[in-house]
Amino acid sequence: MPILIGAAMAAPAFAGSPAGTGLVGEGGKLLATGGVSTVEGAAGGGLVPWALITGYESRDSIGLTVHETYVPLHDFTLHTPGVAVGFYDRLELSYAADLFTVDNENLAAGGLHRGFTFHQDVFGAKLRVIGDAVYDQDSLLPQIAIGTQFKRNDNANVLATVGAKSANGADFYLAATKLFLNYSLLVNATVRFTKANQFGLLGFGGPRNDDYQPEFEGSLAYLVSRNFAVGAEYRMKPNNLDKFAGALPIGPEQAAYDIFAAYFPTKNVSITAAFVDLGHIADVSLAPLGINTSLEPHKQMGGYLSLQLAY
Amino acid sequence: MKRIKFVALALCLAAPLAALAQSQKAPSQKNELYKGGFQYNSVGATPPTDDSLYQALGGKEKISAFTAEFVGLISQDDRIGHYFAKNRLDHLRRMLTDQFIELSGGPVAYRGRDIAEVHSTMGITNADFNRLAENLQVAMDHQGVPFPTQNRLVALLASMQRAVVTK
Repeated sequence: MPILIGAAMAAPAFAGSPAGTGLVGEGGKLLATGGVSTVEGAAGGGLVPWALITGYESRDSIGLTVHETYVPLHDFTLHTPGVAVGFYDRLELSYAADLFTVDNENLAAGGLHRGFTFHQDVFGAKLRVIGDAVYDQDSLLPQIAIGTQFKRNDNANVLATVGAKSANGADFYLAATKLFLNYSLLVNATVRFTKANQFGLLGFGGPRNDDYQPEFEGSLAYLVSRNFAVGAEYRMKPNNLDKFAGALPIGPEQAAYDIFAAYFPTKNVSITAAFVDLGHIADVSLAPLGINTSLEPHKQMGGYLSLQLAY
Repeated sequence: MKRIKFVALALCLAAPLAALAQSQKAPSQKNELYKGGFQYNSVGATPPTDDSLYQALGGKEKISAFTAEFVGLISQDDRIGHYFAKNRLDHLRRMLTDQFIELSGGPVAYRGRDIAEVHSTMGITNADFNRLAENLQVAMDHQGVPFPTQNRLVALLASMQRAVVTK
């Protein structure tokens, strides 16, 4: 498994340092309140960005998180290494590389073949606008953040083959996160304006639709103990590529969901494991070849494992 | 499907805006939600009207026990220990015990000073405030308070951030 652990496990403990000096590494936020890392690099759950700012630095400091995520699916593997910086619990900047490899030798058409890797760079920015998920306990106000993810793909020719209008695109989202401590429950709702096909891995826009559409995403997490949480997420996606009558007609895109468990042994490390279902990704019809079947008869379900280090 | 998405979108936008409107009516004068030296808003995690949390925390005996340990931890803490006058720890312990009992619906009244007033000149940061909360969690862990019950007390104390943190 290509998970990068190595020397990173020798992570330093947070140093004590005088309050408000703006130094890196004070560890001033409560455990688990930076969320984990999503597959696009933003802080949140595994699939859904939350209004939380990455890392453990409070509003007086700057923090860095680094993550590695490995998602083995039925016919593909997603590998996303990434890094994010949280500034003063207010602004988050992130980068993730989404490397999506074809494992199934039957997925061989239109430039796709076993071993082919889609590569998408995701540059993210998120701004906490109002509210605090932890402190606003006697208020209905959630922590609200707005964010954007600029996505850039290699292999524009393959993306054109499946009907995508563009290889690059940007998502815009608003996230509202609230921690109901009375119930040990975190609730998040995100609405994302996007044209992305399969998170952007199959480009942006398509013959069915090339306009921005709002998509709803939600997460629920239950805090079992100070360092262990379980939860579930749901993420709707547009369906822009369906009905493409070109070289590789792709079937409809489904919503994605996951059920996860996250463990936070210290403020330096978190480990998240999940079961994910991303629906069909390359439900390519072979009808143009006179064969009444699909290249991808299985939905893409599988495991998810992520490691995040925070400084 | 489009209608569902539209409704979900509308809810996502409407709910936080409604909550914002609600929360901006925070009372400035003391009312019946003034407990433990702090003025609570009228929604969300507010001091309970029954004693179920007080009982779940273990009553006066266990609250006294974890508060005593809590005061020991915070006065020795490498980050926040400097805030605590070492010759006033016993007074602090009694005040905090009464406060936790009152907040959780128990039969003792908090007779200490207003929380905002007590902390107004200390220059406390969010990181300091969080460190205090962490120490309380450790003390409650050691005294065997179940995690969901701990969170119910922390929920009442978390709102005090706006009164305690001045930096």
